[in-house]
Amino acid sequence: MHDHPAAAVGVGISCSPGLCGLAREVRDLVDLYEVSPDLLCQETVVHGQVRLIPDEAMVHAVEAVVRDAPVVYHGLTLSIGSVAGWNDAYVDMLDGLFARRAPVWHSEHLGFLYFDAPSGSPASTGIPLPMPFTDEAATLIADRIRRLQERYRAPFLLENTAYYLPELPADPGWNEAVFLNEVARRSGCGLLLDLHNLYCNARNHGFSAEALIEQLDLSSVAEVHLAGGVEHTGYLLDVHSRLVPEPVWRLFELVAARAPNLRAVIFELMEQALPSLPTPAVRDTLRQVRALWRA
Amino acid sequence: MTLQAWQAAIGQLVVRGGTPAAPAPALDSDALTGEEARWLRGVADSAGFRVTCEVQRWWRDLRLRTAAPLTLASVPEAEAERLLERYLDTQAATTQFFLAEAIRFLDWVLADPAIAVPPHAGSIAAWERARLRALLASPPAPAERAPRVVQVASAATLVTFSAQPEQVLAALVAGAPLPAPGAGRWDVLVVPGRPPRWRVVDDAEARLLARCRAPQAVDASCARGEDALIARLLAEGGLAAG
Repeated sequence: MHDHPAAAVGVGISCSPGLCGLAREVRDLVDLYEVSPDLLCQETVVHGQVRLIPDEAMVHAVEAVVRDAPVVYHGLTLSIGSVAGWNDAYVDMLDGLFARRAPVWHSEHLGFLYFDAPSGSPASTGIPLPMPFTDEAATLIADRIRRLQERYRAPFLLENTAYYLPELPADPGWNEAVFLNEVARRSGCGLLLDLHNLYCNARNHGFSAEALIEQLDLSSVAEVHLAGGVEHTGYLLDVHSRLVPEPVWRLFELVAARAPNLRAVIFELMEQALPSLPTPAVRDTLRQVRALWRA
Repeated sequence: MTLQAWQAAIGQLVVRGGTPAAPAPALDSDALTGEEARWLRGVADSAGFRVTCEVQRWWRDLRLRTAAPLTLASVPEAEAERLLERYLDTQAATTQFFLAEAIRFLDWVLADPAIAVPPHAGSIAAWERARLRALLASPPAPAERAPRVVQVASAATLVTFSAQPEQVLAALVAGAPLPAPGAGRWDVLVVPGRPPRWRVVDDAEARLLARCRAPQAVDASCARGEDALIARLLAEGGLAAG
């Protein structure tokens, strides 16, 4: 039994304070919005504790756009895979956000941001890092997901990430698909399949994205992310700064036809990249998602 | 190697890869087998590792350019680039958040005597940091009763300029030459709010605020005829009950 939202919600787009204008301009093509709570907060220290405090101006700006549409929360800094412990400040902040408005579901990236430094205190990696594809890691992630499921009355989805580190450790017979299937099976969570992340990994590490999709239990997939990125020193980077490249559209066609519980497809973009993502091109992208998904 | 040891090893490698002054991870630890240590060294030599570290630095660089633009504009362009590079080379990442990273950067900049060399740069960095700190703070709640003791509110800051602050900041934003520093002194009070408010205070207010860095009995200040100043600064959020 997976965390599948009951109702279909459709095609959506990221909404952050810097994307509010665009989000309004494409409202007629959008069924839901994806909001990253971290982008509506500031980090500060209160009585010696790191806290994430909602920035009311940013929250109100986004609320004004998403008020009349379903919304899903998409976390960036939970650090769900840190053995050193997840980010309590993020969870406290999410409690408050759920109290304001419960999303249709919420999600987080597979990875870790904090580790135990030799000093004994947690240190930050400065960038989300991938998990090894091992039973120990799957057990940790599944346990954390169960805690989220108990804490919030909303389905939880786990997202596959783009990573550039080579040759991640894996148990015999395990790869990313086996790992994601195992986590979904053990925790009952749904999967957020980011096809641009998958495409980046396939390109950068030399494997077949189609073969990995063949191995995935697509009945777990409740949401798909589409995005575009840039090349750097031979690596394809997941920066959400470009339109969706053709190979990712082909992967989407493959998944859309075979993921029976797919409920939402989100076009992800980064507000800093708006100059290279004109509104007409974003509208064309949303139309193409609709055309391919309904085909 | 346990998952905990693996995360610590990779985490330290990436921190060191993005911040060369960070401590080097011990890859000859007893916790690692020879094969694990070889794998970690191989990772550290890989192109994918270098990309990971570069992406980490790009994000930090973007946060600083976005959240501390005035300080970076207040020094010659080449110096701004050197400041960013030196900061990223020596200060390991601690946050993913724009304002938190920028405040840490400005703390670092202001601790460096070199920032005082370009005209107004120290004042601008202090003013920008004060605004960011004020953004993160809640305005003090209005006191229900007249307080007996007052002090400077926790997120209120007094910043000194050596030219009219409005002229300095307007020129900076417009990319025009900054006014020459003069012999005069302009004290600017920055207080929490949305957006943070700031104004030039007069000499009497500046003296009172300087005294109120430590808690001050209101009666003693009133005896000096400062009742109206205290009331105004309390209302603005520059002073709070001590």
